[in-house]
Amino acid sequence: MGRMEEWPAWQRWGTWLFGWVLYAGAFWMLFVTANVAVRIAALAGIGAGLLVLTYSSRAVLNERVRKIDRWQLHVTLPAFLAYMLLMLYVWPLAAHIATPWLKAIVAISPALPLAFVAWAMIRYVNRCDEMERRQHLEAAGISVVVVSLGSMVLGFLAAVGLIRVNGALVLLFILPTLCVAYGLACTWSKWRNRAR
Amino acid sequence: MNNRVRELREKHGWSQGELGERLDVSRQTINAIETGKYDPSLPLAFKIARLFGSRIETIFDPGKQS
Repeated sequence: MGRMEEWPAWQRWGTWLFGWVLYAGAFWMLFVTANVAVRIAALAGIGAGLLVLTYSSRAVLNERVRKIDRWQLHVTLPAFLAYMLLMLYVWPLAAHIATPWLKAIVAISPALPLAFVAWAMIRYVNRCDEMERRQHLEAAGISVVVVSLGSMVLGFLAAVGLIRVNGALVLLFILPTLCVAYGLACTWSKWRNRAR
Repeated sequence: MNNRVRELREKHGWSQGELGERLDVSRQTINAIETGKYDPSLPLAFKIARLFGSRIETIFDPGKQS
């Protein structure tokens, strides 16, 4: 088989596409059913999808998977799966707890694995090479601008009564929006330099 | 900044990925240095010079200085 970055382009792109299908399909499965066995299968699918995507997304850019990429995957994958489990089975319990301090602990419990992922991301970026660190810095800047400008536009529209926004929902969407914007900016930056 | 990294790499018969592995940087970083899109830091430039057994100024040419 050889190393993935040496595979023909169609195989690398096919694997990448398969990774996305697996990841998105498993995500969809997770939310359309409450069946525990199906949800466990969906979580396994998400894990497998992320594994395939980590390897193939580097291969489509003609890059090898390095030790730090494997480290990041091994550290963040369990944390991400823990986050999903907490969101599915622990966080909903908060609504039924009367004791305020216990309610608060249960409600913020999903933030713990995310804080771990953030730490792992900082460590990963610090271990990247100098040009990659510049790409991450650009991506972080772009994502901050996108999210803060987007929030401001929403705020302006809400202030004049054109739209109604749910404060809790907006706060919950800040991190995912930042992550998506950061990921897209990173991809764009790496795509520009993909040529040999 | 002009440089001879591509020429020296090809002389050694290495791919961009192989040179990247030897310098512990990504293939994209090697490509960006070779195409002049990215100027390496002083430690990386010294590392490149050491790997090719050349002096840094024979590999990197800053061009006209103002």
